[in-house]
Amino acid sequence: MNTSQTSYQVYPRQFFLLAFISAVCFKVVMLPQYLSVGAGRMAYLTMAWMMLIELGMLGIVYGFVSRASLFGSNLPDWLKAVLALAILASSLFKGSILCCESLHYICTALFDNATWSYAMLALLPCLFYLSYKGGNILARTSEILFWFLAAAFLFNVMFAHAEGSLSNLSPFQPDASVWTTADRHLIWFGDFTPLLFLQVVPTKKKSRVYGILTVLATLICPVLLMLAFQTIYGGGGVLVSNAFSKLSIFNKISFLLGTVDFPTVCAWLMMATIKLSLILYGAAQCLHYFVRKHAIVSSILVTLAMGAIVLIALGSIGNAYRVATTWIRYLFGLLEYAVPMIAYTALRICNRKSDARLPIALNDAPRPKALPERSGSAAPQGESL
Amino acid sequence: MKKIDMSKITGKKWLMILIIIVLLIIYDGLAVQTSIVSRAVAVGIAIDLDDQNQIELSAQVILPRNGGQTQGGNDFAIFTASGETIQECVAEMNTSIGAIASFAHTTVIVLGKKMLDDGRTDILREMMASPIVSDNVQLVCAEDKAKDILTAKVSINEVSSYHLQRLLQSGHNQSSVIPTNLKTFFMHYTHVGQTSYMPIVVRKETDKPISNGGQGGDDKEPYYLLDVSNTLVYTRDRYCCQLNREQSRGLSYVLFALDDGILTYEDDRGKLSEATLVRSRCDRTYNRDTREVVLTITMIIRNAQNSNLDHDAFDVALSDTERARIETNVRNDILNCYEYAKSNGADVFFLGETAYGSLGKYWEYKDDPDYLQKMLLRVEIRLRSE
Repeated sequence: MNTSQTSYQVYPRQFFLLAFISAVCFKVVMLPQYLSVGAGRMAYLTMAWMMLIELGMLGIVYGFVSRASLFGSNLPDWLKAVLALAILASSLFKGSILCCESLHYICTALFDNATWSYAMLALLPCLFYLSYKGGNILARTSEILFWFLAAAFLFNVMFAHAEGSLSNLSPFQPDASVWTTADRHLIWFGDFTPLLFLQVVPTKKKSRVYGILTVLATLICPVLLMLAFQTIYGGGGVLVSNAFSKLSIFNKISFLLGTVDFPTVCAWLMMATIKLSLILYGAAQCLHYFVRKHAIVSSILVTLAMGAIVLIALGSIGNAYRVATTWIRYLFGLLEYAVPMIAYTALRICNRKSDARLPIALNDAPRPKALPERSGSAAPQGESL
Repeated sequence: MKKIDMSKITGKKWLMILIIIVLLIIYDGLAVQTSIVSRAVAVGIAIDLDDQNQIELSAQVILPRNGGQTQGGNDFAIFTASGETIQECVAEMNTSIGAIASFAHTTVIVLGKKMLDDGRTDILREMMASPIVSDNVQLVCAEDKAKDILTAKVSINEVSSYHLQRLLQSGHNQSSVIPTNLKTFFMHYTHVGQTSYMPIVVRKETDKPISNGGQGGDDKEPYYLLDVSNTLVYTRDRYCCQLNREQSRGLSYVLFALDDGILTYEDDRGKLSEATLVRSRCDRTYNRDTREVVLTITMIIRNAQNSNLDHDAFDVALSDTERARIETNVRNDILNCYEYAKSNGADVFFLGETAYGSLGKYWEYKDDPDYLQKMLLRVEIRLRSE
């Protein structure tokens, strides 16, 4: 198997699906509660504002990966090393914070008082394996997940029953709390950095439709969920953790039987696994850039490092929140935004320089040729660039 | 030393999947898994305060038979535990039952009067934040001890929890007492004025049914029906007042989009007649100049034909005077409810919330706790016949 060469190649639809999962997954669980506490009735505005920035970042990341992957690009080695170091640090930090959220969800919403260490025992091998297998396996997994998400969504449409009040969203008077809350929860945004390690393989099918759909879904889903959360819970939202699980309880059934949220819990759990694996994949790629040993060693090391941070250094969702909202958020949060912008700008400059040096048709060398898309498959294996 | 080619191992996906499965099985063995027969599934719970102001939690629990098998019907028992917090009560209850109390399928919480009199909103807050209780759970208040409602031997349905559940979940929003669940309670309670409500449940003795399963007990014990005609108004951490049947109906006209109900009126012949409420909704606006909240209630009604059979079976159109009488009745119910709640200091129609939603920080009474006394209410009824 030749994972090192082609595991980063994905089709446009796979890329956009991964982007959607990356952007939505952890914004719909604890974040609505956090934003409600900070921004009150204007919490949806905080979410909408940050999602608009996210979409800008998606554009930049797509601009990069449609030309090359981070390590397959013609950026200077020193810059690659700096970016890899930044991504490694921010991925480990952010991955640990988000992993705490997953464990909290598993140990409270899914299991009855399960302990984090046991849940980690089940979660870490999955994360390690998916992150080791690489980007195109993650992309393929996300395609499988898509149908679970669609089924969960269908169940919700059929069985959801909510009584909300639009008056919970008024008055529309944005104040400083909108921005301070966004600033405080910086770590929950800027989710596209690990996608820099992928490369989008152009297909003969037009990818514009996937792009537009992803942009719409990425913007709409978290904002819509935030609006639903506020209209249903109002000020009571500050008491509700696990917003996604609470909102997706099939109320029509729940009125008679109690909580019925298994399909959405499963769908979310799969999204979380893919998202965390993607972060670990990015971190492992960065470590591999320095260590240059077997890729598996890098994957094991970053997985264990994240496990240790979660279980030893953080240990609880409260600690994770406290750490994620200290001054450290500026360091790692801004790295998440800065890295794609620096990488994209540098790539364009480098490409322009090479254009000037090589006036013949080699100027776009890293860009792979268009391939006929194979329905229901992972991105090409063994295709030489 | 021969170098190991790791990709040969990790490339075998079935081997890796097998390893993950084995790890999951180990996880399953390590984690504490409780089988269904070791769980005590509570269908309803009651919360009281005892004489020492400790929380007294009672749970109506399904008793699993051998291996969880049932031969028609269920057995139920009520378990009670006391403690400083709900979690403490649950832990004590687990010990007394010898099983883990599970509240995921609890659909009704009955609250004792003393608990609400003492303003123990913190207990409800704890329930709301708890992952073990669904926030769809219905809230009702007992006239006295909550446990008395749970222990009542009911003549229909198996146990009082199921009876209450069916009473509160009719599937229609009727012009009467409106059920409240945990999330609706807190949605209203966090509005300006901190006012919320819930149905009051009362036991009414009734005849013995022909056959009945249920939770056993002495057959000489009286049988009950549960009545939920009145509404409790709870404001600023205190039991505020009780709305009677008519006032509760007035509350439902304003706070809910209704799709069922009966409007009685005196027809042109001087007889009591009925119209069916097909649909209604309430729109609210705030007039800053007059400090007046205008409630515009739009109702679609249908004349009940049966009442006119002795007169003219096909003459079902309402006259202008009959429509005016219906409007007056509805308005009276609403104003009666409003004035009574206002006299007890409760902003039951959320006038403050309406004004704040309209003006926000520019609302002059934003920080005034007595804002209700300085605001006016106007009710406009728009009837449409179908």
